[in-house]
Amino acid sequence: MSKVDLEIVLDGGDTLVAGSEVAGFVGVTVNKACRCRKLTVHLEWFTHGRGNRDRKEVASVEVFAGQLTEGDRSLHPFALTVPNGPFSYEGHNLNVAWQIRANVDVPLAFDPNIKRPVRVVPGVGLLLPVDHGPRAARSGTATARRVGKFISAVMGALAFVFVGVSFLVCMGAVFVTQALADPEPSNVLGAVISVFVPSIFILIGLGFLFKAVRAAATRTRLSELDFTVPETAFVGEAMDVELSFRPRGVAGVQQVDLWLECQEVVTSGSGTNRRVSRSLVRKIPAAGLEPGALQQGASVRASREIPLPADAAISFGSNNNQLSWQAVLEVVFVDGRKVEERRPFLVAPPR
Amino acid sequence: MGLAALNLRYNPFGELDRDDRGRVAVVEVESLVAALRVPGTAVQLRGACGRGKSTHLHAIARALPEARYSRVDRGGPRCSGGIYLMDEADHFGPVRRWRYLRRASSLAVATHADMSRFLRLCGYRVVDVAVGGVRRERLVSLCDKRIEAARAGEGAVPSVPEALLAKLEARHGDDLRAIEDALYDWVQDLAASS
Repeated sequence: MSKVDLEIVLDGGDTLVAGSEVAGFVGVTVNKACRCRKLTVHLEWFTHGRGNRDRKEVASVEVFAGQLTEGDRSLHPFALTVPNGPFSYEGHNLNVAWQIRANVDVPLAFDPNIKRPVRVVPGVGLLLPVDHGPRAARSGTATARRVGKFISAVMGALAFVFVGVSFLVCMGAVFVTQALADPEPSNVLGAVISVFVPSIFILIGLGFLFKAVRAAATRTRLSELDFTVPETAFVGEAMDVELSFRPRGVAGVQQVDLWLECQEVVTSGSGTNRRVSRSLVRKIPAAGLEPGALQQGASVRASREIPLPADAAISFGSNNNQLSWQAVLEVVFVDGRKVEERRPFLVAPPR
Repeated sequence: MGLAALNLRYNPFGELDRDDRGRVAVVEVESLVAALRVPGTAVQLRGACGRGKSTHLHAIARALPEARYSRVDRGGPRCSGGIYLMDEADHFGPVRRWRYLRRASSLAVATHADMSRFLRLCGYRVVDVAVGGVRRERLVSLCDKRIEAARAGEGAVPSVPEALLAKLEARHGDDLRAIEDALYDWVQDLAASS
């Protein structure tokens, strides 16, 4: 079997600007003559870190097919267009990396390949749409998400109650009847346990249910809530956030806070091992509302311009890895209860 | 500079591709591979979460290229013949599980619960392997292999201090997933301070 040595040489450096062309050549040396079905160069991104890996090939080009001569070093030029994202990113749980990979299809042998890491950075003044990755945008409205969260919390709580009640009715009845008929210490102990353990489940379920209903009830203290953020914000520019609501009920509003936050959300494992890890990358606070604006019963209306710094991370989303931005509004009532509203948005490179 | 300053291409204790997991696995599968080559054998890899059941399957898949690996909870394929490696086998009930594996000449299943009775009913001779328990040497070897696989180039790469491994072993026992998770943060902290 022949040995194939590959190398990738780029005309420029390892930093590729979105929208530009990356050119170079693949050098191939073989120690024994062999046929090459095809020599292909791929440009691809992949994620690495705490989450399951995602990858995508964005461009490829076949640069050669034919006979490779023993001892010769053949050079095969290539050129590929660098897409407008996703962009290279290094974080705690998530990294988005790019590479150029060349592989030789050799008959009846393992296909040798070589990878060269590169960085993809935003270009300036590009008219191309930004690619944030295959799953960057969050689906569903804020109301739908809130309702979904409430329903899943209630269902979870009811599941605890159901399990508790089922065990109480089935096992509790048997053990208690047995203890009443024959009050031996072991029977009494069995009866106590068969009542006590399901009761714990019921209490936990009721606790969750109370918490979910309480949170939903607190949310109704704000009527006519309108919290608007742009769908896309640009690095280095200020984004406009508008909010308005009317407090309802006796408990007045004590404080209103507003901030932007960027999170890495990654999924690792699957099935019984599936785990979602979140890591706060950045929090950008905005000026809160003045106490004078928070009179009881009066409508609250405000708008803020929140600047996105030049080094803000650009949104990314794939099946198992997200780099997501959200605007967060937190309303604190005088009795200490809080309502939190979140609005996702995309961060795009500078215009 | 981050991970590049540590001469690493990626955090060695993060999630890996299936092929890479098989490559860095520190498990002995020779006897299991030999057993699977005999038609009618079912190898049951049984253990709690994070003990290395899937890693065993990946290592077997690497040693047996003709075997078909399937993660059934992620919509992996049914067996269409030959050697079948079924991950998360207890995700399905017995009927669906049987439909998936009935064409397998021999198979390995990763499971939390004991399925030996079911596998015998399906006509297989069962080899039961309790996965778990980790010795210090294996842990050191696992760390070294993972770090080597993530090496960026010539030169020094970090090595996990013995004291840290002892501490993690005392805290997490044989839960390799939890140990890897803690080591992930250790590498990130090193990268941040470099």
